[in-house]
Amino acid sequence: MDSTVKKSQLFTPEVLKKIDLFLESIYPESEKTGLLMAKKELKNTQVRKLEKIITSASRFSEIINFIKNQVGKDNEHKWLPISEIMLEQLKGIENKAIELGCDDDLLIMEMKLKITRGWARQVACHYFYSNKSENGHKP
Amino acid sequence: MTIENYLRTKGYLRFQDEKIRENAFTAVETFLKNYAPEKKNQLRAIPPVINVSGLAGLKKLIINQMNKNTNKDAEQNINAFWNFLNTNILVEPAPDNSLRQTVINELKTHNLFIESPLSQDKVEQRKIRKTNNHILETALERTLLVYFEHFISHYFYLVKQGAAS
Repeated sequence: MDSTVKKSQLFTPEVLKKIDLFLESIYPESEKTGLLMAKKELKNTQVRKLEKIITSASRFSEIINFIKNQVGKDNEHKWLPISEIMLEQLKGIENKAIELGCDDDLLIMEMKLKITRGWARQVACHYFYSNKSENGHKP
Repeated sequence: MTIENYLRTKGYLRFQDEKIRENAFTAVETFLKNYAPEKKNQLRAIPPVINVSGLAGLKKLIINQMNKNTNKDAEQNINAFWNFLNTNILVEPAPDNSLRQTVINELKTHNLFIESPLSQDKVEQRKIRKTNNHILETALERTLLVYFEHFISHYFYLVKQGAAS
């Protein structure tokens, strides 16, 4: 595919549907990740920073490397168990993007990021919900 | 296709994202299997050098570090790390799983090297070798920062895992 193709043209309705179905399928795992992040008492700012990195990344591996760097810097050992399940989920996302991308490098690169952003929204949402519930602010 | 055009393609970005990442992770795992972890500041020194002076700067850093360490107790491990990087990035002929060979293989896949027919005279052959070397070094230089981004993050991740277990 021509690399000058706009991103809006990359994802056909059919591809978008497949992405949505995949995101639905990984939703339970995303819930668990968000819950674990709340249990480990990650700060809101840390989760927002993760979201920001994922939103602004231009390469999928930037996200993996960010998570690993967080583990490297973390003296309280909160990130290590979280990173293990996150990296496993990201591996699944990458494999799915490669499967759906059909050897099209541009599509694969963009799909990895798109799916990861969907995943991040799920995880962050459950983190903030679990955090509120833990603090007794149930809706 | 020229090397400059290739380095602008999504194919190259994907190569950095996937194959270079895999190569860096394997390199870290191989090193840590055989040697004790290196000091953090040794690794952190690498990206700024590449940012400022590229491949030439990294070559100088590696060679200086290899020749430097006089403290016999620390010498073995520090030399092991810089020797490892030297083998992985600079040494020719490049070992199979080195970064250098991974880049060479990628360039060959895309027919980016100039072929040198045996019939050509030695002057021409030398010219072609020089051009191909320039192509390789251009690609290698462009790959280094991302390679070390992968390398350093995985390195600290594994060291932390080891410390926690």
